Amino acid sequence: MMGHIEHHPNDETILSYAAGSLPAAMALVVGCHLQYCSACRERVAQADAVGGSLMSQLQEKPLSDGRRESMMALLDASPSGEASPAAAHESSPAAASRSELPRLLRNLVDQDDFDSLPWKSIVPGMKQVDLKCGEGDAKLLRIAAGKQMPVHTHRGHELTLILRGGYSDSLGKFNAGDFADLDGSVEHQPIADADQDCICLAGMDAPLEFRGWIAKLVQPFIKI
Amino acid sequence: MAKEATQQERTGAFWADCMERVAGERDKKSFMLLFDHFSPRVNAYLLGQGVEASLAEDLTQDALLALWNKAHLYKREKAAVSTWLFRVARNLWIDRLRKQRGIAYESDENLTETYEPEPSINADGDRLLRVIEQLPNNQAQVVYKSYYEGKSHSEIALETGMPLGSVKSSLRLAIRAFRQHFGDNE
Ligand SMILES: [Zn+2]
Repeated sequence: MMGHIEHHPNDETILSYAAGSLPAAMALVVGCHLQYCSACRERVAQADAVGGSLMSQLQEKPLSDGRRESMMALLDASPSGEASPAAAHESSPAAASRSELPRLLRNLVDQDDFDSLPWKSIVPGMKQVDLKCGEGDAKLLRIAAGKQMPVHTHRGHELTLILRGGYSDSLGKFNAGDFADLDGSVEHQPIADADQDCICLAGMDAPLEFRGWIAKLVQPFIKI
Repeated sequence: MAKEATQQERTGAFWADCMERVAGERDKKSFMLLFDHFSPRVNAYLLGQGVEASLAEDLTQDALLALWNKAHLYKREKAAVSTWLFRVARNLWIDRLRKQRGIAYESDENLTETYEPEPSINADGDRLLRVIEQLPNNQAQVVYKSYYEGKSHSEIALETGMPLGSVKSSLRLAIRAFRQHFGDNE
């Protein structure tokens, strides 16, 4: 389903994901890209190694008296060496591989195909699903084949992962698996491919700001 | 039996040997060497993330217990012990204090079953440490705030008074230095 991936997260996005410091909405988009991109999994592993080295270098804060003994007691209580079973809400790999949705997204919405999601029309040719992620703003966007989004800039930092179809804008051609890492200075107007709807996962730390009078008129209604 | 080593000899390879003895022989002596070395560091990491003191100690014990129970999943050619513990500690911290962010990380079990092995990662954390020590101040600062305080780019900009663009470019330069360590010439 995912072909060759051309566009990846920026270095600072990868570092912050590994550090655990990206807001949930944005971290979700990175986590989903990782399922399809071995190059970025390796970049994250390198950033994890940086975290490990930094942790080794910290000024030591020893545990209180008695913690060492209670640790030893815990070892006797769990001598098996077996992996603990995965948490109940997590997908089994077999079930997840039949899903159209990336695993992390599937865990969140509990659906296996895009058409079963509660799409809401926001302007002709554009639908969205708001995702409840508790921190930042995450949504799925569905742009009808051949349609163009209004011109918009980003007030904050926006991350987008293409899940199906593709689009083109001034930054290039984006296909399934590709990742757009855009900060506030970028203004763009994506056009979906003509052959099928384009479905993207977007995560941001601030709402978008549309430009032009048509956009100003529709902005209150199309809360993307 | 665990080979005795002086403080100087305790490098990444020494800790990886300990992990293998924990996995293979359930060797408690090796485990306690790991515990004595890493628990004050994991605890310091959690305190830096703003975890309250007694919870930080509980989570530190949880992290080390995960090391005892999941040592068989550890692959020395893929990661240093410190890297592995960092991931465990980060996930425990997210689980307790930043629960929303848990949606963005896959569990270790899921990863080992579904991801291809990627053996090219250099597991030598000791050389990486020297790269970190040589970073210019502003780069070290943004790297520390990202890893130890869980701060986003915009939060760091707000706190330090650096423009957002400088926060990002400092992080980018720091990563370039790390990448040279990993021998990636792109
Ligand atoms: Zn990638």
